[in-house]
Amino acid sequence: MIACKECGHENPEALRQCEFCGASLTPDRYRECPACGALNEPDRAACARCQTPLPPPPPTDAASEPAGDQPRTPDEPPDGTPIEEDPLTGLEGLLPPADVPDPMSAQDRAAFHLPSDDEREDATLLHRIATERAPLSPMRREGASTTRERMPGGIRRLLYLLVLLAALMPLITGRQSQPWESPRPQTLQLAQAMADIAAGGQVLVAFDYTPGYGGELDPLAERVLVDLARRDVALVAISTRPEGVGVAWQVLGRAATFVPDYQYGTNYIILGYLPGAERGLRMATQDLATILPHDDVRQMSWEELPAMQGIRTVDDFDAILLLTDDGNSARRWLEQVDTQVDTPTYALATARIEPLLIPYRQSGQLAALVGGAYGALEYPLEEPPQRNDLHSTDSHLALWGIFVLAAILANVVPWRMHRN
Amino acid sequence: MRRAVPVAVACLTGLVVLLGFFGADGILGGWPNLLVEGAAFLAALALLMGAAHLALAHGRRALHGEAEAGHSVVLVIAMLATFGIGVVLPGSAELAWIFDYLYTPLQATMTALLAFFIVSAAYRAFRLRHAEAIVLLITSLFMLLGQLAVSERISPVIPALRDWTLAIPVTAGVRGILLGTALGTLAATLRILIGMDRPQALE
Repeated sequence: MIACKECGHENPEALRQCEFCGASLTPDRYRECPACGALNEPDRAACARCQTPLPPPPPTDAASEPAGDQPRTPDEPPDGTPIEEDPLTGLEGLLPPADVPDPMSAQDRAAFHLPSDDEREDATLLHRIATERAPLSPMRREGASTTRERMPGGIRRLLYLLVLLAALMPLITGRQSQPWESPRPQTLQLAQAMADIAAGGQVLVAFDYTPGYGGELDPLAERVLVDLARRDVALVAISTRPEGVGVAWQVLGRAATFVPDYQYGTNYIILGYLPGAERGLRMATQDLATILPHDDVRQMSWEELPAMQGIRTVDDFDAILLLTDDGNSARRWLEQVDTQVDTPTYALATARIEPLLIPYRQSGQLAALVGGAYGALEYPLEEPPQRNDLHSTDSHLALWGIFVLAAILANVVPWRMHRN
Repeated sequence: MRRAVPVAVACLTGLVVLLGFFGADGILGGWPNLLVEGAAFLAALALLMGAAHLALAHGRRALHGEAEAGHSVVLVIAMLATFGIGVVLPGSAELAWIFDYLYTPLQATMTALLAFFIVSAAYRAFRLRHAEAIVLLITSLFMLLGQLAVSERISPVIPALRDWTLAIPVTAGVRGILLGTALGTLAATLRILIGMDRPQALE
């Protein structure tokens, strides 16, 4: 390997240019003719091409070292036998110079230049960006080391066991937590708004959450929808997520079982999936009948669906009920629909995204905002469904309790271990 | 020309749709809606092509008996069955069965696993090592306790503090994020509209 004098990069011996910075490697082994630029062996006195006398080679560090310590050149045989003298030495000029074709044209030679300092700096920077690993910031480094720190095995087993117990909590308690909760103002506000919708009214329900969050949102959604259905309010389901249609199918189907004679088509329908994100919602706001002309289940037109009587646009609904586990989806509804219509929007959200929607509630864009698990417990409903529909809320609350316990253990256990 | 045409098309399309948002639908006719419908159609086509490619890749793996070919067989069968039933019997009980007894339990399982990860992460994140960790721990405790049904029985301060935290510091942070996102979106839109960023160009 030959180390580049410019950048220190180790290059293979066959190269004449540093593969990293482009600096010439040849002065170490060849001497360049000042007249024609040809490369000559270091022991030549005159250029092999134009016979111009070559300047004497500069003394190298290796030459000044004692013979015994002198490093072996690549051409030197490994056994240390001396190189035979060139038999043509001293015969330069006896023959006329041969017409040696120049392998590199003048144009190529002009293009083939040594890089400037700026170019080398750029190349070095590019090389660093391309090859170096991004340095971790102090906070990040600390986080990484924290992640490597293992939780004591006993504590891990205890916490995981408690999580399992939290999942089984409904079997133990059976929604015992409900009487402990006093409704928050926003939950009461939502209940009052739903109560203000007259019988025969129509509500657009956006099912923008996945079944994965059904445990948190389903109980609240069912309570509110049962409340509306009992007062003969028609429910029209829509979703900007493909899986939301299936969720609507499940939740509305269950809610309808608690209300006698609440029928699909007459009292509630599923319009289906609305693609197009922001623009899709804006188009639906302008002309919903053109965007989704049939329902999703029976493929019936609006004229055949009593639940859609008198509806042409989103503005014709009495309320929009937004069920969501996604902040972006909620934002889209508020920015693209709520700003265009006079219909009030009420959001039922997971605890995860509830903080993201609070600015919209404070600004009045959201008429009410209620979180999933506690909302189901707090929502006042006369004659709650016979089925124990709040099972999962006890699990959620137990799980939050376990997180609190984990936070306490995280500080008590290391302190105790350190003391012992 | 090869670079200029995609940039010009992207700029023009973006401008027309943007003007449509600002209420210029009357002047532009149905062009904004038509362009968005075209984009939705393209996205659907891309999704279909992606699904077809996935099925082909796994079908090839299953046919050649490569490593873990069994998983590929399951994937191809499940994909074709769902697609077939969805196309032939839309809104049917069979499709509902797939959603209720396959998709929903799988999604719920994935979400349920998060509980174990979060408990493990909570243990590590809530260690009091520096001042920021103390703030994080105290805030988290009040927020978590505030979610519990018994919090008001423990102390009326807990739900009040939770509501204050949500109303003031959290809202301030969220407003900052929303403003930052809006400004970033505006900058990114302008860069594309004036041709500085060319994600659509064939470089």
